[in-house]
Amino acid sequence: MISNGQATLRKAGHYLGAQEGAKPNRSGDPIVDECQEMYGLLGVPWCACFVGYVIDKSEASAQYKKDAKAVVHPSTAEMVARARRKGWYGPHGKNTKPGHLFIIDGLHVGFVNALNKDGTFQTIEGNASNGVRSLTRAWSDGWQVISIPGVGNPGPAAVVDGYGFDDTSVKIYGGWPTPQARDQQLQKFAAANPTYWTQAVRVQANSKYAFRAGPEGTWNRWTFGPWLHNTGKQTRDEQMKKWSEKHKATARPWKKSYKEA
Amino acid sequence: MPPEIVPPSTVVIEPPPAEPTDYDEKQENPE
Repeated sequence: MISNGQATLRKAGHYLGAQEGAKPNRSGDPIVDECQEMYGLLGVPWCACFVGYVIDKSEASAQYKKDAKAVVHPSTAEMVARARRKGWYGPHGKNTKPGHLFIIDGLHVGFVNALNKDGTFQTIEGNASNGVRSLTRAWSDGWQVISIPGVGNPGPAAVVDGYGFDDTSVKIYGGWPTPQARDQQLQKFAAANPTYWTQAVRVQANSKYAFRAGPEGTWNRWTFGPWLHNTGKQTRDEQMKKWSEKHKATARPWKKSYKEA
Repeated sequence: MPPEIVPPSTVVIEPPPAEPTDYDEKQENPE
């Protein structure tokens, strides 16, 4: 028997690498439409729908699913209001576990997949750069936690390989020791490259302030994957070939390890 | 030009999205 948290993360991981199609917030991969249809919606931002759908279709207990249903809503603002009323909403802490939800009211929600010791955490989330992704985020950015009761303790973590690729025309520059130093360089870069988008990010390095930049049209469409397990590499290679041919662009393949929970 | 960091050797901490990625009930469903 695996915990409810692990059951939902296992289900969520199944959709990693899924992407929207040509129309915004539409399939693409079936999960994009399916999770919205569960709430009678289609073509709307779908991060919260992804959370609700995954829990509902997972092997979590009936009680856990019932509790999740009582708080999960396509709107994060409504989700926060409901979780507050239940007493399940608050800052992260020593009781935060994989399977809990990270959320900013009115912005975004997803699953906490693993907790790091440096104030960051790994996620599995829908509608991140138009897909289902595993990202690193920092609690200091204001993320709060919705803790549905009975998430349980994760079992022994399975580590699986994930394969993806990036558009090499999108680059990360840095790092600088202070945000001010970074911002100064970012502004210089933006002035010199007016058709490029820029985005301030941090990296896990000593000089952690960096920025990401890319040519027009690549915003939100520059990283793909991960695809997990034995079939992951093959899927990545196929997708990468298709993408490179379609866009006549160079892709950079990558491989990372993912803890299941 | 500042130095380029090549992922994935460096892990990027994603900032919160600038725009909501969830459904806003006040907006009309576009479909």
